[in-house]
Amino acid sequence: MKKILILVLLLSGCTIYDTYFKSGYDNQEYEHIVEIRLLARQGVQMCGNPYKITKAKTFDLISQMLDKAELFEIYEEHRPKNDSEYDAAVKLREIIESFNNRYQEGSVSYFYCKTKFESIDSSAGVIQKVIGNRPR
Amino acid sequence: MTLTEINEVLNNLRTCGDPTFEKAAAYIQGLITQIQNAKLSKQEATELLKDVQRQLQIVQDAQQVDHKELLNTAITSLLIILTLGINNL
Repeated sequence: MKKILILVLLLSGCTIYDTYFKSGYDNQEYEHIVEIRLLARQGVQMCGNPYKITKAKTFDLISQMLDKAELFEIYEEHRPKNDSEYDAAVKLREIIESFNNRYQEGSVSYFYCKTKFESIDSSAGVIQKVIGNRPR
Repeated sequence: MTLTEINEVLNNLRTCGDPTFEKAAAYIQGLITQIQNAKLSKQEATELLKDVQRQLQIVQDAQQVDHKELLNTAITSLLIILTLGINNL
C-alpha cells in the first residue's frame, strides 16, 4: 500500500506543483514576448545608420516595441499565480520606455542603441524561457 | 568609493562563479571603457546602468520560479517520507 502511495506521489509531484504554483501555458502570452524579441533583433540592424529616414524607422520600431511591452504588462497583471512574471514584465517595459524617451529627445550613440536593443532581446529571452516552461 | 575600488569590486565579481554576475560585471567594465573613450554620454551610461539593475531583477524574478520548483521538490519528498511513516525526520 505504501509503495503505491509513494508511486502516486512521485508521478503526481509535478502535477501537484503545477496546480498550486504555476500559471498554465498561454499561446498569446508567448506570442507577445516573441514579438518583442523579434523587434529588438530587427532594431540592432538599424543602429548607427546616419540617414534620417532610418532614424524615423528606428523610432517607429521602438514605439511598436513599447506598445507591445505595455500590452504584455497589462496581459500579465491579473493572471493568477503570476507575480514574478508581472514584475519582470514591468521591468522590461521600463527598459523599452526609457529607450523610447531618449530617442524622442534626440540622437543617440551607436553603442547605446545597440546595447539597448540587445538588453531588450536578452531580458525578453529570460521571460520567454519562464513562460515557455509553463505546464501545458 | 573610487573608480579603482569599483573596478576591484567588479574584478572580484567577474570570477565569483555565478555567470549572471560575472557577465554583468564585465558588461559594466565595458561601459566604463566606453565612457572613458567618449563613445557614450553620461546620460546614456546612467540609463544603461539602470537597465543592468532592471535586468538583474528580471533574472531574479525568473529564478524565483525555479526556487518554487525546488520548494516543491522538497515538499514532495517530505510527503513521501511522511507517507512511509518515518518518525526520525
